Amino acid sequence: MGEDKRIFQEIDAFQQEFSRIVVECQKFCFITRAREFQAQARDKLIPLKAKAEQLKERAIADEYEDAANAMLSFEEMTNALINELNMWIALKDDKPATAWDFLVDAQMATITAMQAHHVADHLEGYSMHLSALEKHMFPNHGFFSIGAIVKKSECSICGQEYGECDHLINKPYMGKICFEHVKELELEEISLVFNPGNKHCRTISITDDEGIVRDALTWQSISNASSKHYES
Amino acid sequence: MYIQVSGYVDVEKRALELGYEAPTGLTILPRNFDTAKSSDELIHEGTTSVVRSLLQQAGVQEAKLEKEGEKFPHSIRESWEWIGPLIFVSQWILTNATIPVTINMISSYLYDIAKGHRHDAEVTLEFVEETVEKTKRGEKREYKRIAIKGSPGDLKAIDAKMLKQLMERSDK
Repeated sequence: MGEDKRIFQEIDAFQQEFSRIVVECQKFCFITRAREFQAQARDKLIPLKAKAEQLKERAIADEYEDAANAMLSFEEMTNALINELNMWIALKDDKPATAWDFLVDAQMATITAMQAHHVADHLEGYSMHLSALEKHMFPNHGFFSIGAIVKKSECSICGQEYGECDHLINKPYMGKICFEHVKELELEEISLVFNPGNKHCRTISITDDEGIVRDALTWQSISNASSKHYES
Repeated sequence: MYIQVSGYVDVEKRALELGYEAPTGLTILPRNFDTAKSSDELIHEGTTSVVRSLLQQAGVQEAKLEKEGEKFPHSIRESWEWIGPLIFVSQWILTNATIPVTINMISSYLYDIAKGHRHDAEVTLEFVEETVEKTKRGEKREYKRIAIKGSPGDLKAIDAKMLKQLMERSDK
């Protein structure tokens, strides 16, 4: 059998395995499910993600761009689910800040999966589900966003000076999403926003009307809160 | 979809003041083209390179403001809001296929990259349009800035006819 045919057969087999495992694991993406089952589901997904990555690397090596982008999409879909499960586990472990970071990572992985290939086109509903979790499970806190002037930057795909090539930001190229790699910038402003590009840049503490500094997620007084809430 | 039409500086005069040739056809203007004290201050919107690549792919010729080998710095913002560059279009461009092709390329690109966050993706596209009216004394040029804000899908509804209507409505 030709090497060409073999990789496509392996990708087909992977897709079947992926569908089966994802359906099994999604059953545990609820707060009522026991922590140990959620951890087992996550641990089942980790090797699946590694397998997707290996197949992606092989597709890249053989220069099958569509297959490489599809495998990037599968890798990120698996990553999204791992992060969602980690979020539920962190909430049960009373680590809300960590749970928030996992939720944001799940959202980012979903977006990357959808940008990478149309095999993830069905994820719009999942993305809405993650947004609903964000709105209903976490308080509405402010985020921070930077504005800057770029003096020097490169294309992440070809390394040329940014703007000199035809690669488009957020589009997939041979298993990678294009981004602008900023090398030199001048900071213009830092703003408090509600729809940021990076939801990891959030308000960590708030001073209430009585002057008490409180954790933005737990409302515990920072001085009284145990260190476990600041592990991330 | 939110649309705002406002007056804009005399593009021809401003370009000459800054030491550039007056734009003709379709030109991407720096975001502070109207307020910069000198050409050293000119800054492009961060999405300029993407729009230029899209124009090139669509076969739309841009008459660049920058001189040969010159490159303006550009801005970046960490936000889900996609803010397009200020696109200058001369009157004759409104009568050919350039605007529908340009908008179609941009909206298709945005539709793809907004996957996974379409419910909260916001897009702003801005045009500066030139109208030339023949008078007894010669030509009277007027410039209007049209800002369109909406979802990536909203952009598909915009065409040259709509832009012309917006310009005419703002005159009344």
